[in-house]
Amino acid sequence: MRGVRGGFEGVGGGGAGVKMKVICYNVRGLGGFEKRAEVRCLIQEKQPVVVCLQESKLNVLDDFFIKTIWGSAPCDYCYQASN
Amino acid sequence: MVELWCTFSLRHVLVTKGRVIATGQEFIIANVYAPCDTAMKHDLWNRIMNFILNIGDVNFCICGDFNSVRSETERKGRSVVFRQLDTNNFNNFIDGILLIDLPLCGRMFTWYRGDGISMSRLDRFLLSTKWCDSWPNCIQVAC
Repeated sequence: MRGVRGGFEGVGGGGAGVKMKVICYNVRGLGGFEKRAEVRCLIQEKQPVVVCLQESKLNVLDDFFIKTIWGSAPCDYCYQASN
Repeated sequence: MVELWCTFSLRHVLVTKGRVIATGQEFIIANVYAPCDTAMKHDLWNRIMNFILNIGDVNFCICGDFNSVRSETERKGRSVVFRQLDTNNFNNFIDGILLIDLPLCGRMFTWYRGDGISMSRLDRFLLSTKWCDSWPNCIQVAC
């Protein structure tokens, strides 16, 4: 049976300051539509400041691709090719 | 909310420097995807450790899939091969650079094979003291 990996988040509290919420998720492949939809939902629901994904199994990412998971709000991103 | 201005890739880890625009607070996040091999993992811990020892007191967060557990209780399964050396290396790494491993809320494990038997805690967040001072009341949640 295929393994499943749970999403994982760290939340920075602090009433007056900025919340520093980070999501970390081993996606085991990010090319498929369903997986991207899942990550997009996770981001919309949790409203993180930073998202760290592992195992995208992709060699190239671009602005267009990032928008499919982050939405239209501006963002920066960086990645390491999966090879 | 935040901007990133510097990233660099080391083997099995992607390091990003950023800043919270509203407050000017700077941070470094290292996104780890550790290999399975014990020696390669040990090498990765040493490289991250050297990096951290050279940057000093900063808001630092190492997160990702460490492919390691900190104790036997973090892994369950039918035929569990518990690698003590792996665990010792991982613990020495965390303790050696005084990283904070907050208690996990939500669930006990972060990886499930799907057979209802095998599960482990392979993913986590490790934080510097300064990170916990800058953003107090941090919690670590498996969801």
